[in-house]
Amino acid sequence: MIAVRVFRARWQAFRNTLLPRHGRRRSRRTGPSRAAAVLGLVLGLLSFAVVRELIGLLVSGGGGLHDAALAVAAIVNLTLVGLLVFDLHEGLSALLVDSDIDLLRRAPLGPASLLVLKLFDALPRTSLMLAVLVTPALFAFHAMFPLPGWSWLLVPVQLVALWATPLGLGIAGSLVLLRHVPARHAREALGLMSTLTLFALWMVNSFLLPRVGEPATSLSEVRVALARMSDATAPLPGAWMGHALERAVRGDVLHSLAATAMLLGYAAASVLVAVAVAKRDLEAVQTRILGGGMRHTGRVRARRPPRATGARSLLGAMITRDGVLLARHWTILGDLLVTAVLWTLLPIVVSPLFETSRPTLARAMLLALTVAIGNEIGARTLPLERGALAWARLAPNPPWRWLACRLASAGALAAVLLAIAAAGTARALDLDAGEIGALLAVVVPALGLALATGVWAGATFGDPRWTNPRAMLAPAGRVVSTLLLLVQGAAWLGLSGLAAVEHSGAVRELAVPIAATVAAALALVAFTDAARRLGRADLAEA
Amino acid sequence: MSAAVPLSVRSLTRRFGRFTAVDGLSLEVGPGEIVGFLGPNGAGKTTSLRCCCGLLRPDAGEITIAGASLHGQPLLARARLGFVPDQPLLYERLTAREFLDFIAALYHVPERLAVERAAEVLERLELGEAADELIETHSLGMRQKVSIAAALLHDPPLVMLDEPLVGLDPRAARALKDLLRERAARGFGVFVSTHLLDVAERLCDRVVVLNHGKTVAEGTLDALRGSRADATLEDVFLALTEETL
Repeated sequence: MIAVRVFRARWQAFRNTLLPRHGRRRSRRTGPSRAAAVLGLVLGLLSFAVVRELIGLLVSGGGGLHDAALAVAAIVNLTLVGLLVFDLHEGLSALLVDSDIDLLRRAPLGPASLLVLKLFDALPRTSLMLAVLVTPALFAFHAMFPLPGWSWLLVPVQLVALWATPLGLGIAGSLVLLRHVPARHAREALGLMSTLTLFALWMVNSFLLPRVGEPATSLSEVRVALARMSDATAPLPGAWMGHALERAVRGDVLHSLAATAMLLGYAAASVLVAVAVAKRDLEAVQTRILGGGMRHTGRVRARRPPRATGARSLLGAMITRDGVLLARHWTILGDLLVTAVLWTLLPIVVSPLFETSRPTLARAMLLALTVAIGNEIGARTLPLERGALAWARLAPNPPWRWLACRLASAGALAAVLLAIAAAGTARALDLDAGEIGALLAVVVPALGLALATGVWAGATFGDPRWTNPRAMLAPAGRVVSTLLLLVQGAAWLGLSGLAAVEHSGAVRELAVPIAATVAAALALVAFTDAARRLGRADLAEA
Repeated sequence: MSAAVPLSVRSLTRRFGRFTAVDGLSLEVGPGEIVGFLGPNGAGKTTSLRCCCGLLRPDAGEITIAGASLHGQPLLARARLGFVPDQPLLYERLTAREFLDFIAALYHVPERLAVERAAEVLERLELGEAADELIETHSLGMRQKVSIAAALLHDPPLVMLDEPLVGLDPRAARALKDLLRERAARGFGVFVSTHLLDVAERLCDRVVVLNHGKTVAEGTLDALRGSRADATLEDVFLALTEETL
């Protein structure tokens, strides 16, 4: 009964957020939620178009229903991995650190009910990938191979099963892990887990991608690659989803239902495991996490700051503070280091797909790192401050000065990471001084622009209530930030390639200075807008 | 500087969409005066205070802090204001001392002076021993003490406090009240929002009662009591807020 009432309250909160009643005060989340809904719709349409094109190409290349089902199966499996990597922390946050956890723990709800309730709570936050990837893929499949009406009735069930399977297992595994992490580090562990999952995924990918990419020169070979992937992932839910679709199109009701039953079986098993673990560990883990900040034993004693006469400069104070904060927010620093490694490795991972010279590879590696690290650090700069960002408005300093100091502080960290990577790359690829100089001429403006656009994204989309170091921006902000990163990366790599082309001396000599000037102008625009937002926005979290 | 009126608010209005949270609020905090800001939940007290310190932008109205317009001379106005919000605005992974060191830099307070002032306030609020521990290990009351110390560090002519006694133990609450009285005795202004009517009754020289974003009463306690000499502030408050429902 209580659970039903709580569910009803959740529904009312959701409705009030998206569609506030006339004359009532609008929720702070109304705007972002509507923007996220529109963005989700756009992404869904984009996914639909891409998958329909892919299936169309497969069919035109001699493929059939089976190949289309394999393609959907691959998309489903990739989505489930993505859900684990990108959305598991949302489910865990809902279960462990949401603001209503204290209240719900006092209510007469068992761990199993609480788990189910909070899973439902996390649904909007964790179902985005299913909504914008899998659902459009199903429509795209239907566009080529129409599904019978009865099989559409199964789709919601299948989607729920696909959503619950990775989330249940992920939560169960996380609870077991968190039970054994020291309480003081439990919150960090939440963030670290998704970072490590991402790292592992990239490592696996770095071995798989060249192998999948190399032979894929024709559609028939894509079909072979899909078949190989299907064999390797046969036990996964995506394969059963593919079976269900293929059988439905063939009119084989029994086998389609059987495949759906398998999906439900996976989901049920996953949720049962999660419930069993929750019954045993949830209370203890919640206590550790909620109580972690209130412990008075084992306090960290900090070094006293040096005492000097005269006021410290704002820049000096900011750099000192950021250094201390980053050293203590070790999951954020770890995440940045992981990001640095991954983006540096990216060109090596894809290098088998292209013929690349040594300097080109080095340039690509450093540019990928520069744009990514600038963007990642810049975007975290303001949200890292959480509600204390209000001091930017309380203290007698203009917003641009605050932001300039933050940018300088972020730039110092990025420059250190970049210098280490540049030195390593130059040594590994045996670059001479001229090649290093040419590299820096592109890397420095790229870093400035990436930092400025990152800070702008943080000022525009920052979420002061973040619980995961990789999700300090609101969902829409993460999409915008990723797009900015990709556009800048592509532009700098393109420019770098253009400058390396030998046939036109004038273009080669002017391309980099012009690009640096344009980058400086764009960085100034981003910086100015971010400062304007910082100076004018209502700091409601304060 | 202390001769200027510490806080002057004229026709302050703030809306959230169609909802008007503060509707034409006007008030003053004079030199050496402690003014209480009272009102039921949702009356618009916190919104008013956030507008007065610059965290929220008013839709209309003029706010002057110790002679400096918050709109026209924002940096000067902010330098003359200390604000204690209802939720402490702290960096959890700094120690209290590191945090106050950073705040001193923000307000351009010489470091030696900042250290002395911080030590004095922290000592009086009995936080000295915990000052070198991470703020994330602090209780709500301890965080509130750090927040109070941060607001007083630059010795501003006006201090605004939003529910400052929440989480404080009786000894710290007493210490804070003494600190505020001492500031008033030096000619500085104190503007304190509270729902603790007995505190307002004992601490404040004057109160402003807000309901539905509008001032419903303003004056000394004696003036508000009017002919009902035996009435408590609670009686007066209930009568005022009931009348305007």
